[in-house]
Amino acid sequence: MGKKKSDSQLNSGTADIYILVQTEAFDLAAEVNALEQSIDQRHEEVGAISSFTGQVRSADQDRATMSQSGKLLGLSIEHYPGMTEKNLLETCQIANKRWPFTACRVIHRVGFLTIGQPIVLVLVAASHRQQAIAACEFIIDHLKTTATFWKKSIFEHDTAWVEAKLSDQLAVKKWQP
Amino acid sequence: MIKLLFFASIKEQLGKGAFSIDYVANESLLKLTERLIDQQSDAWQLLLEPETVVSCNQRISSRDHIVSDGDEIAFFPPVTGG
Repeated sequence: MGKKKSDSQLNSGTADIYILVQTEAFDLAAEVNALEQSIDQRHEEVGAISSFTGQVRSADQDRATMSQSGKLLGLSIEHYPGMTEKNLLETCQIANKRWPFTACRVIHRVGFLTIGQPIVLVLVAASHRQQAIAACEFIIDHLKTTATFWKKSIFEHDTAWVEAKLSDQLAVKKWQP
Repeated sequence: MIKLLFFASIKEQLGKGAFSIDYVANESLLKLTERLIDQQSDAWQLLLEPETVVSCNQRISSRDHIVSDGDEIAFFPPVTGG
């Protein structure tokens, strides 16, 4: 599979927001370093960086599916180029209004990912931990219900589109003012 | 012309990722979808299923939204990223 990358960056005057959709893996330490570099340029004091990494798990596969389809090999993730990045940027802007932060970085992978591989990264840097943690959780909860990504489970003998979960819808409701 | 895009299970079921259809003045997304189904086949009825999400120019839209010439309309299932 060829490498694919699309990104968008916004310096709205209130925060640096960086969005990236890519096929290749990301490195948490390298991304934290990139976030810190963007903070350094702003000369603002940052007291907290929160991070969330989501990865491919094998636990979603129930026994009935396993006997017919074989072992889960991984996930194939597709997205709507353009709309996805726009939506992620808007989610980060909403988060920034509620919990003002200095910078954030959201990376989501597409293509085929095997079990254990990282899918998504959300990093938020803020002056205090409360903003960093709340904004990070808000962004990932919103991403799961609004960003135009679709996962397909790839089994040994079969494939199946992952269905949207009610628990994700409920998770995002808790953020309603 | 109206540009149509299909994603995930919808793309797979229709066997198409992109398509275009003539623009008709004062047509809602619902009417455009019905016209599309008439032109194609019953398999395309899935575009009218309640869980199918529709966007116009990369914004989620209601079925009564009036389409403009050159719009990009996309149909997709509920999202499952993260």
